[in-house]
Amino acid sequence: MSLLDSPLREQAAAVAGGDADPGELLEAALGRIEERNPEVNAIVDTFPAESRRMLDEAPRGPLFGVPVAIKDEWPLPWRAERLGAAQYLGPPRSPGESGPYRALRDAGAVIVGVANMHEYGAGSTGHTSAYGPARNPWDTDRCPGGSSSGPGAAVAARLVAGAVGADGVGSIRYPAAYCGLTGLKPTFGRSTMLDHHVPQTTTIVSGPLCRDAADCRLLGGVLFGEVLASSETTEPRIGIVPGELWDDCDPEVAEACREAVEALRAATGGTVAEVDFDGREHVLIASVLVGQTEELADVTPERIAALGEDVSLVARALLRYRLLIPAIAMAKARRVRTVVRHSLAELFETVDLLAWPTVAAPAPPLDNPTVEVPSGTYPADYVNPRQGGLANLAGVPAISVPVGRSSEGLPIGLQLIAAWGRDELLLDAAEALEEATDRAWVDAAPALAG
Amino acid sequence: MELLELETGEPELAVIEAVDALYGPPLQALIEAELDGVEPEAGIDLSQAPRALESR
Repeated sequence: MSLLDSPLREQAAAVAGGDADPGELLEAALGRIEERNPEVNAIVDTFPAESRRMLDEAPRGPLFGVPVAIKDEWPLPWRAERLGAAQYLGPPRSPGESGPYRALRDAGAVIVGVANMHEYGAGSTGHTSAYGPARNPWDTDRCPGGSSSGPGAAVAARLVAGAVGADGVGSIRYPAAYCGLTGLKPTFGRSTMLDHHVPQTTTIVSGPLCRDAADCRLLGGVLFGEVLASSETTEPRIGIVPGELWDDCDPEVAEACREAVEALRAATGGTVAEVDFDGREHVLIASVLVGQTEELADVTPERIAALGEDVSLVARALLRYRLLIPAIAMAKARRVRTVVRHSLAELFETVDLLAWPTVAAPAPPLDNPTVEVPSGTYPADYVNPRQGGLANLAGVPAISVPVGRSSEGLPIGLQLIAAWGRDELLLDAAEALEEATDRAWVDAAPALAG
Repeated sequence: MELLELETGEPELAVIEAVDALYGPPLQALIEAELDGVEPEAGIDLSQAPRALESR
């Protein structure tokens, strides 16, 4: 087995301990991308000379000599981000030292590729991209999730063991769930956002997509600029929210997640109680309105009109639709945010974790990205923000943990949410869940990575 | 679209109508929601709990 198949932390330990040559690891990673990436289209750009230079100049940090990928949402000194799109919505972007680039460089990591993403970050499936869609390594006819589609597909296909994504309305957690990975959406403001193209964002955060929680702790710590301490999870108070978050999910998804919550409770001596929060019925629309309009400040009707047919029809139409949103809806969405934040603050005095499925159904087909749930058949993009939008709207951290597979062999993810600043608790709980399930889901690899 | 002087073709309009069929109802419900009496959150800091509760 190649070292590339090992978790991020084991690659780092092997290099740090002198058991692996970082130059050989880098060349192996580039070779694997060349060999395997055509199946998944996860990596849209490689730059071997720059990668080798990063290694030559790498400090002996916590990720010294370890290959990683970064979403096409972050500028690098040799490449401006393109956001999975053929044209920019706002002014053209320039190469630069984004926060995640600096964090990775200073940790000694080696960026081996830029990862694909849903066009403009405006979708939860990854089925639309100027580069062509990334493909789910578990079934290459399925969506990998979005908008961090490439990071998800790259880690699941074992091209790299860790990748940096971004999450504005669930965009790290959806690909984690669809691809059988662990993805952390940090507390707003804890992870670096330097030189992001939406500097005024109140929803987007950078975060890690990795195989398991320990790797997310390592890569997340690099993005946070601090060590994320580990503790044993004991007697967590787990809140289950009744209603559509559980009941309007594919039955296999709901069942696997219920079993995982019970496994976590039993393994940690925790408790499970039904709880609720105010504003829940408006979370879907409020999170979409807030999250999908923050970059409109860069948009003008003239710029939208100038978008050519190399930008997808859906993107061109959605941009027009956003211009028609009534001001009262935006004001109400901000009010919902306040309602939700107050209610969650009270709720987190009585529970430590909230739990529900990360996505309502497993990865849909790329050529028909709709999902069937008990209430009907919908575009996945419509249903997913209902499950994932809360954390972005409120600013709280959330994590998606793989907890099973559907009868079609597709991964299922459980989402855990904690109070502001309790990212470490999420990682601890995810590790406890991994142990409780004998790491069956985090160590599983799709056939193409076998 | 005319007000914005933004030319919009039939394909875009068809997508907009499909999107509105989905998002229109929750959008309308949000617009009609009575959200009175909510304690305002001045100087919102998304990295923290609301200040009023934090200081209790």
